[in-house]
Amino acid sequence: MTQSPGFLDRVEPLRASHDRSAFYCGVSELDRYLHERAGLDARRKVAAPFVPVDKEGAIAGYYTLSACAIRLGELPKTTAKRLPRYPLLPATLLGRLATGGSYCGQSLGRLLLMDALHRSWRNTSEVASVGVVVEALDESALAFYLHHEFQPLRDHPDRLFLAMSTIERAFKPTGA
Amino acid sequence: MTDFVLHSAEAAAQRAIERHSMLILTARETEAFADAILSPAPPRAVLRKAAREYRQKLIER
Repeated sequence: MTQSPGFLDRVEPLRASHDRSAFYCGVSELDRYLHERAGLDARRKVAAPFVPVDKEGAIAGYYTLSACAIRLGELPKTTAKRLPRYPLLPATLLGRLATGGSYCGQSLGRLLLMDALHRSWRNTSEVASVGVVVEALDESALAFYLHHEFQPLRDHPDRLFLAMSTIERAFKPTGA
Repeated sequence: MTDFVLHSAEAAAQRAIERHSMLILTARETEAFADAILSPAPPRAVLRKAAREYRQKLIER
């Protein structure tokens, strides 16, 4: 049985009532995280897992968000003057993103990524964040984030960043 | 116990940002990063389209 992402009803915070055990995405680490760790991380407020569900409440994937800090290195003085004088800048870590087997292809992944970016941006009205950070753990994840306009870091191309102002303009094309 | 060992081995190999809750930039990365937040790139076609489709599917319905 294949379900199109059109069948997707909503994306909501992970709750104890969601059946996590049936979720399977094919990457054992991502499956195991949802089965064994996500609930604990949510209860401890270490990471916030969100799940796309269909009308029956079945989980089709998940992603997690948490706060992280970006520590700047040495800067030329001219650039340093233009930056806020904080050695640490607040950012949002998109820790994991997985889509389930019955929703093949990139479209659910893209929808989940957009939900994560939209949520991260919406949260900045309450808690500031300069952008969204991800760590791509394989080639396909790297290609996925590059395709969606994340910038790889020069010395660690598996770490990528998307500025919050860029995200804001994507969701508010007529504003700002 | 086995799971704990597996988790530990994997966690040690990857997810450095998560482990430290911090992204540490090199000098070269800091320059590029400063550009990215001081003069943020406008979203290009893929991101704009994805954002529009997202709004239609999950917000404006």
